Formats: sequence, C-alpha cells, structure tokens
Amino acid sequence: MIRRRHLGALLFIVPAAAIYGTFVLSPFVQTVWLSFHKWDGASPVRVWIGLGNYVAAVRDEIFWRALSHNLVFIGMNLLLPTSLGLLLAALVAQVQRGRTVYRFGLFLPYVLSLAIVGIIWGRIYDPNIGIINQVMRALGLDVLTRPWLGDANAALVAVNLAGVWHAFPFAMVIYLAGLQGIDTSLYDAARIDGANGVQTFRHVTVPSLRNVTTLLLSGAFISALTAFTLVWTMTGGGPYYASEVISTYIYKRAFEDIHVGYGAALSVCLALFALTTTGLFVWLRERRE
Amino acid sequence: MRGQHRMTRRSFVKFVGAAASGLALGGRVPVAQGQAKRTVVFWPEANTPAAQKGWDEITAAFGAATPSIEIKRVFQPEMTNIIKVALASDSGPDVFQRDIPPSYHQPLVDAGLLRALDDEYKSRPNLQKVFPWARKRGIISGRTWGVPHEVEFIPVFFNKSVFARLGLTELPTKSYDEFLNLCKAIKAAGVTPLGLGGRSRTQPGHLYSELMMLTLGKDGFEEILYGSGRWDQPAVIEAADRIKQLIDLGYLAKDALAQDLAAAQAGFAAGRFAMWTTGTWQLIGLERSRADNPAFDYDYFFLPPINTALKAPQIAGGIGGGFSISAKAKDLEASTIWIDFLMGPAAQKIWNEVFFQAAPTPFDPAKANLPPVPRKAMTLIARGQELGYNVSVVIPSNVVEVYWNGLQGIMSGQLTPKDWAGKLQVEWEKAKADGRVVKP
Repeated sequence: MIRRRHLGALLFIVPAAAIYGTFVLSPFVQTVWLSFHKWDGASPVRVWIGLGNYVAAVRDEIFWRALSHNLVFIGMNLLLPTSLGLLLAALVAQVQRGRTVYRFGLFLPYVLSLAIVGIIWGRIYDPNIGIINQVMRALGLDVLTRPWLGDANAALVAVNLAGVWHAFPFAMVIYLAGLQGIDTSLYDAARIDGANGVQTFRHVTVPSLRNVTTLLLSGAFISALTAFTLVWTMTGGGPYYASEVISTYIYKRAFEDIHVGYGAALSVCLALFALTTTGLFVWLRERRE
Repeated sequence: MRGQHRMTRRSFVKFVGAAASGLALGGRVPVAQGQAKRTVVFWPEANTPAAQKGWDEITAAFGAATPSIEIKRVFQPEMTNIIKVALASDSGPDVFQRDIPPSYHQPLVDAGLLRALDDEYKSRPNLQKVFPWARKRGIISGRTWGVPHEVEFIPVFFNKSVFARLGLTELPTKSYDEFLNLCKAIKAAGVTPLGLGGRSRTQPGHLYSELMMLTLGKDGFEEILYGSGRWDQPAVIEAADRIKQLIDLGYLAKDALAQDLAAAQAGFAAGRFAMWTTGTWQLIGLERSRADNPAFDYDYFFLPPINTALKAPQIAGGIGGGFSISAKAKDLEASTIWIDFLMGPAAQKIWNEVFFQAAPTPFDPAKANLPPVPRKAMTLIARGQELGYNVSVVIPSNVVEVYWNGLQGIMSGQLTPKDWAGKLQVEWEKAKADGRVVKP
C-alpha cells in the first residue's frame, strides 16, 4: 500500500524532475566537467588538465579585479534600490488620491529590458549631448563634467546607477504589498504610546517588513553577482577592465578568447561563490529571527 | 447560422483530400520535369537595409546566370559567436561570409570544420584572378581556407567642411610633424582635431595599426607574426606612445573612450571633431551621412611617415570579410560555383556600387557609378598593391584581448605603453605555446 502510494508520488515528480535534470542539473554538471578541460568549444579533442583552469583563475588578476567590481555592485545593489524602494513605498502608501498614478509612474523603469536601459543611460551619460553634462554646464559646473562611461574612475559607478534606476521600482512594489500585510493594531499601539512618524516607521514598519527585505536583498545580491547586460551594453567592461564584472569576463574568455574550459571554471567559481554567500546571508537573517 | 458558410465534416474531408492531392501533384512537378534545383545554404553577416539590397541584387544576378542553383540566404549578424557551434553541430551553412584571417579561422581549421579551397583556386575562373597577396592572407598551415572578398584600409578621414571653414588647404604628406602641426592649428581654432569611438574597443586598435605601420612597418610586423620579432620592441611601444602623445596634447578627443562607433560617426559628420580614423568599411555609413546632411563632405589622407627608413606608403589594412565553405557542405560543386560568382565581374560591380567595397580581383572602378571618395578608395584597391595590416585581425584572440583592452588602458592612463607591450609579448608566447599563432 505504502509502496503504491510512493510510486504514485514518484510518477507526479518525474516530469518536473526530468525537466529540471535536463535543463538545470545536466548543464551544471557538464560545466563542471568542462572546467577540468582545455577546450576551444569546437575541437573534437578536449584535453584533461585537472585543476589547471582553477589554478589559472587564482593567478588571474583580471578575475580578481572583476570580482572586486561585483562586490561594489553588491554593496550598491543591497543599499540603494531597497532603501529607495522602501522609502518610496512608505510615501506612496500615505497618498490618498492618485496612488495608482504614482505607482505606475514609479514602476515604469522596471518594465524596460536591461538592454534598453543600457542604451537610454548611455545617452544620458553621453559627454556631449547627455543630459547630465548639459545640466552641469548650464549650472556652471563644467569642472564636474566628464566622459562618464570612458572615465576609469566613474564607469563602474555610472553603470551601477543605471541598474539602481531599473531595480528600485520592484523593491517599491514588493514593499507596498508588504505594507498592506502589517497588522494596523501595531500602528494604533505605537500612536497610543506617543510614537511620531519616524519612530513608527523605524520600530513598526521596518521590523514588520523583515521577511520582505530578506527576499529583496537575496534577489539583489544574486543579480549583482550575475550582472551582465548593463555592463555589456554600456561599457563592454571597459575602459581597460574598469567596469569588468565576472559575467562579462567569463563571456569574453569563453566565447571571444575561445577558452571554453577556462570560462567554465570561472562559471563554477561564480556559482559556488553565489551559493555560499547567499546561503550564508539567508541563514544569518533567519538566525537573527 | 443560416446564410453563413459552415464546413460540414464531409466537406472538410473533401477539402483536405483535394488539398493533399494538389500539394502532392504540385510537389512532384519539378521532379517529373527533372528541374529540381540544387541548393546552397549561405549565411551573410550583415543585415542592414543597404546590405540586404546588395545581396538581393547579387542573388538575382546569380539566379539569372545559374538557374539550376538556388541560394538560401540566412543573415547572421552574430556570425563569430555562432558559426563554430553551428558547423560543429552540422546545423550550419554550406557557405558563409566572415573575416578569413587566421585569428578568426584558426579554431575552425583546427577543428576540421572548413574545407581547404586550393583545388578550387586552380579550377575556377574568378578565383584564379584573386590577387596573390590577398590569397596569402587566407593561408593557414600551407593551405587556403577562405576566399578574401573585402579589401580594406585605414586612412584618416577629414571633414572637408570643417577644413574649409578653418581655411586648411594643405594636407600632411612628408612627415608626422606636419600632422601634429595640422592638429595644433585645428585645436587653436577651437575644434577637437581627432575623434574616435573608443567604447567600441576596435577603434583605438585601428588608430594604433596606422601608427604601427609607420613605426615598425609591414615587414617588421611580419617578423613578429612569422619570425622572431617581439612585441616589446621600441617601434611597437613608440606607436602606442604616439597615441598617448595625441591625448596629452589635447589632439585626440578626451571623451574618445566614452563614444561608441555610431556616436563617433555622428560627431565627425556634425563637425564636432575634424578628423576620424576608421577603415574603408565605414564608407557606406559616411556616404549615408553625406546623403542625410548636405553640409557634410569628407575625404581622406594617409598619416605621413614617422620612420623614414621604411618604404612608403605603409598603409594599415588588408583583408576583412571573405567566404568559406563548410567541410560538410552538402553540394560542394554548387557552393564553389556560388563563391566563384561572388568574385566575378557582375558581383564586383555590386560590391563597388552598393557596398562601397571591392573584392581583390582586377576591376576598373571607372566603369562603376561611384561617389568621389569611394571611387578614390576603389581606385587604390584596383591597383592590386599589397597593403599592410590591421593588427587585430591577424593575431590570436588572447593577444587581441590584451591589444584592445590595453589600448583603452593607455588612453585612460591606467597602463603605460611599455607595460602594455610587455603584456602583449607574454600573451604572444602563450599563443605560440598553444599553437595559436599564424602558421603561413
């Protein structure tokens, strides 16, 4: 009887497991396998080199530089879109009339594809006709104008800010949904205790949104680690690796430099780093609860 | 429902039966008449409206000349990224268009994905006429793996309207100092002398190629490619120093690394900078700018000598696009006939007039209907004179990566020319150890 019940359950699992195995597990295992080889992606011969690609990665200064840029991305992605989203959600939740208009207007950047965002912000940052430099010139701040995407000191942050512009609306909408789930009696109690708006926000709203924040931060963390599209469309990782991130570097080494095995090794490193740090982050958050 | 057309089950069955019979009969007609066409699947790499028009004309001309062969065209703008996988998985074309120099072709040759064309060069009338120097550029390990079709070179384009406004009539011809003086005069007039789309990593490489041909020369570069020459020698470093000098003197736009190719072309046409270094592959875009903006006119000159010991002219350029045949081409003869047609006089006229390009076979530009600058470029190509090199197309990909990125590093002050040259030498030695350098 029990066996039959298990058999039935297994039958239900098989389609999903087959799809997951074919499209997720199998490519992952193949990538790990490739990472132990020297292979150009086309040759029928794959040369087994053991941990050679991983040793090369450890010695690769561009890899570490790209990883450090990912860490900058992570820092900015964890801080800016979520805090901006939370602030705007709290403000929009207060609006009595026209809330939908605000919500729609603020959500708009999120519906654009990242490639389009890259093109739009490429124009915004254009040193000659871009709005940023034009406004600065109009204000007499010529000294602050710069070729944003061509400046080694500015390119990484410039790309990241475009990402923040794209990401904050999602955080705002999720926070708005979270705000609706907060027990209103908590606000009543805070009011009776004499808490002002800021105190209520700090001691009632923010703690009540802890789970939502964990979700958003996890998502932001992973998207910062795997960032590709914006960097690729806006700078290509340049100038001279000044905005290179791991994903663009993997692409270049695997498909432009045709070192597929090395690209696979870098991908495995990235996946392990993402899994470990995200797991650690979620565990820490849950432990605090 | 009365009065409306409804299909009953019986009428549906009749319809399907009739349709099936019709299709079957129709499909059998060519077989019955022995008119089944041979098919060549061909992947060109450009799909701009102008390129589509050109390919329409070429395939129509081929269809008229060779009705038994049908060309199935599939545009592949991402050719470099997909061709390797497509050929390896047997889902690729019979013939494809892409750069043929060894830096592109070596991995395909090593993987056995291409067909060597030495026999076809002997037997096909138009392939026999390919300029020897151009054919040489498609040779790897002693065999010829592609047909060169796009001869290109890299001059300095200048905005004639800007030059006229500034009263500049003399072009630099004798020495590089003349060029620097020209830049000085343009800058003094409040115009940025030289622009570049440095965000497109290839663009600084084009300027460098021009300068390297003037410091090291074609023969010196071939000594690196085929002999024992080194990347960290003074002439290689000097060419990079010259780029740094242009930046330091304010002659090269300070925002060059923030501009992509399209922005650079727009800036040049708008007169934001007076000169632009790019290749003749950009003629089609420049002619479009000229058509869109009647105030814009342009011409080109070559950078004057730096190392006067080198034989002039040292022109950066060589072979860009070309055609290759898959090792698994379904109909080799038909594929070869198609490529031979692409190198013939009927196609050459279309290359000249629509694409503003030229195949390396003898032709008379006077017979083509061309605007002035493309005519000037075609006339030079028609002489059959050997050109120098566009460095990035003949070096292995790992060296290209350091070459392109390093030039960005020099322009943005993150890397010195000497350090860059050292890195190039390291990558070159790695490529040599891996067997990835050119094997003529």
